[in-house]
Amino acid sequence: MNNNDFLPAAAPVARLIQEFHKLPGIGSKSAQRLAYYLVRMPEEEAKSLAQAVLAVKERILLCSECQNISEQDPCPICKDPNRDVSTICLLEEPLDVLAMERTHAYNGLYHVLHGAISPINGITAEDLKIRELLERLRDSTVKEIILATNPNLEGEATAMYLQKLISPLVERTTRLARGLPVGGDLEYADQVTLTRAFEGRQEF
Amino acid sequence: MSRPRIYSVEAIVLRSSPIGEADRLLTVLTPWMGKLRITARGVRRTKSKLGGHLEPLTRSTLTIARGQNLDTATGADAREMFSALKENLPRLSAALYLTELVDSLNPLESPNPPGYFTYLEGLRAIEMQNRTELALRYLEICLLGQAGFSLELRQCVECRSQLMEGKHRFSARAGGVLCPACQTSLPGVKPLSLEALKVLRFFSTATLSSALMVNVRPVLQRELNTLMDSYVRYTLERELRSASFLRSIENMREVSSETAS
Repeated sequence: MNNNDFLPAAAPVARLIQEFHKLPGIGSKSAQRLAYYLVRMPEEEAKSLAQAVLAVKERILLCSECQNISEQDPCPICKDPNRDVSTICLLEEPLDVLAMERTHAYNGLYHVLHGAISPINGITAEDLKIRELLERLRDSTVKEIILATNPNLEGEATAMYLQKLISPLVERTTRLARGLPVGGDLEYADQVTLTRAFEGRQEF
Repeated sequence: MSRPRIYSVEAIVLRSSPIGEADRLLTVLTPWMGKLRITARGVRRTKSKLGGHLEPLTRSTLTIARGQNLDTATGADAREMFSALKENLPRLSAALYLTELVDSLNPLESPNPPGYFTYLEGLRAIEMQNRTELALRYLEICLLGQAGFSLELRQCVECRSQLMEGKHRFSARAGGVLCPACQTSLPGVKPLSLEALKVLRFFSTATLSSALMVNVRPVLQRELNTLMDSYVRYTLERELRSASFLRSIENMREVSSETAS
C-alpha cells in the first residue's frame, strides 16, 4: 500500500494512516478512523501518545535472565530477593507474565520463550529463547520447571519438546493443570478437557 | 453452486492462526467442499465453548455461517480429537508433517474426497501405530497420486519401455524410474534398489494396513525416505517446514535411546 491509496488525505494524515495500517489487526478503514481521531485529538494528548511510543522503543529491553520485557536489566522480578529462585515458570509471551502475576499465587521466577513451536507456520525451537533457558539451568539452583505454555497444539508441542530437553537438568518438571474453566459450561466442554478434568480431580 | 447461508460440514482442522482480539483464522479440510478458510470468533478465550473443538488435528462437525469475505464457524462438535497423537512428540511431529503435506497439495475449495479420507486414515494410523516413518512414505505416495502426481514405477520415464530387472535409477524431476539403458543429464538422479522399487510399487496400489505389514530393514527405510523426500520437495518446489522439526525429533529420540543403552 502506498500514500496514493489514501488520496485525497493530506500527506501527513496519509502517512499516519499508512503507519497504523502496518499494525496487526488494523485494516485500511480502521487505520483511517484512528488517524482522523488523532487529527481531532488535543495536541497535549497527541504528544503524550507520541512520547509513549518513543519511550517504548528507547527505554524497553529484554531482561537478560528471564527474557521478559523490562525497563531494567535484570528486571524487578529477577532482582527481587523474596522470590523463590529454585522455581522457573516457562511462558510463551510477556503478557502471560502479567496474567500470572495477577493471580498472586506464584512466587518463583519466570522465563519467557517469545512464542511456541509451530512447524507448519515455520516457527522452530531455534526461534524461541530456549538457549537462554538452558544457560540459566547450568548451575543447579533451579529445582523445578513449570511448563505453563498455552493448552493448545503449539503450546503442548513446545511443552513436550522442552520436557525432553530439560528433564535431565532439573529435579522436577511440572505442567499447569488443565480442565474446566471457572464459569464454563460442562455440556460444551470437549472430550480432552473433560478427560483432563477427571484426571486432575481433587478431594472436595 | 453457492453455499447456503448456514451450512453444516465435517472437517479436520489443518491449521489455525490468531487474528484480532481473541479470534482465530482456521484452515479446514472437508471431504466434499475441499479446503476452506474460515474464522472462529472468541476461541482464544479460556471460556470459549468452541475452542477445544477447533484445535488443529481435530475432526469436528462444524456449523458455518456464510460471510462476505470469510465464513465463520458458529458451532463445532469434536468427533475425533486424536489425543493420544497429540500427547506423543514423535507422533505429533509426524502428524504435523502429514498435515502440512495435505495443506500444500489441496488448493482452496477444490473437493478431493479420496485425499480427505486418506488423510483421516493416516492420522488414525499415526495415532495407533509405531511405524510412523513407513506410514508417512505410504501416505506421501497415496496423497501425491490423488493430487495428480503419481510416480511412474512400471515403465522407464525416458524410453517408455517396460522395466526389467537391472540397475534402475530414480528421478524426482522426471517423476519415476529410469531403466539401465537410459542415460540422462537430469540432475538429482538417485540409484534405486530392486527392493525399494518393489516397495514403492506395492505402496502405490496397497491399502494402508497392508502397507504397514511390510517388513522394511533400516537401510531400505533410509533409501525410501531419501527417494520420497526428493520427490515431495521437487513436486512442491520447497521443503515442508515441518520436515526439519520431524528430523530434529527423530535425532532427539536416537540420542536418548543411545544414552539409555
